[in-house]
Amino acid sequence: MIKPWKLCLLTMGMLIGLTVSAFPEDTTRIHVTILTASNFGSDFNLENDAFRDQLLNLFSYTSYNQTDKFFIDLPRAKRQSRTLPGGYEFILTLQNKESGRILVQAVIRKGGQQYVDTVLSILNPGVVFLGGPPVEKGVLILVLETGY
Amino acid sequence: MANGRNNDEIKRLYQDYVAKELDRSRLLQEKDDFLKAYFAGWPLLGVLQFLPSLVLIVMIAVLVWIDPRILHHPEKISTPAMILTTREVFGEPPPVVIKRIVSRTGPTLVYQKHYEKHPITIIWIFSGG
Repeated sequence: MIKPWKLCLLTMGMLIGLTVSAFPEDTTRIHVTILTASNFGSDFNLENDAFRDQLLNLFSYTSYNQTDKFFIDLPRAKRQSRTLPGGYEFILTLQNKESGRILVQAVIRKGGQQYVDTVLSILNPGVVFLGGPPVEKGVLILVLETGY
Repeated sequence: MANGRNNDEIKRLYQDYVAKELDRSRLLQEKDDFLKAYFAGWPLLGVLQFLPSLVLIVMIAVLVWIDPRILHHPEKISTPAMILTTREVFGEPPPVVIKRIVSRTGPTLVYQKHYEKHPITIIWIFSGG
């Protein structure tokens, strides 16, 4: 029969192990919002109203539609891929994480063509707008948010 | 003798004819009529039509008298104009640093904007290049 104090220690150890494995130290979560901007109409279909003012200040399009949003958990040195509207593929890779900054590689490609390959050093929290890939009746704008 | 008298007569007739043709008063009148027909007359104001130009010249002369430097080349500026860099706008260190950016479809544009205390970085890819 296991003594109570040993059982207690074992339970605590299991709990600590589960906690650490659920949140690996080198994992970073990035919030990605996918928008389609165009000059057809004047719709503003956005869940986050804070984007509205920013988009009006930054770009000259008349219509913005939010088509998707998701979180990407980035373990170190492992590519995470998502499919975007228009047949694009969005690939994020966490290259490094230190001193409150994350080093992320972002790639957008379609078929055999690479639209952008960029490496960003982002101070948490940070916001990056990544846009330009053309889709039907507009362009894609990706809003990357870290540390929020 | 008769020829000499005829020559004098002819000469006198010729001189009378030329004198009549070159009648000064009639000639002057015809000249004036010609000028009025084909050239504008002297304006009603006369010399006063040049008054605005004279005023402008006087103003320029006064300005030059007040500050002759306006006629000279501007002095060279020893200290170049200060341009705030991203570090000065957003503080050390910059919120987003682009380590590398490559596009196979066209040029890219990167700029950062200060928006309500939250700096935003925009990366734009231009297709079709």
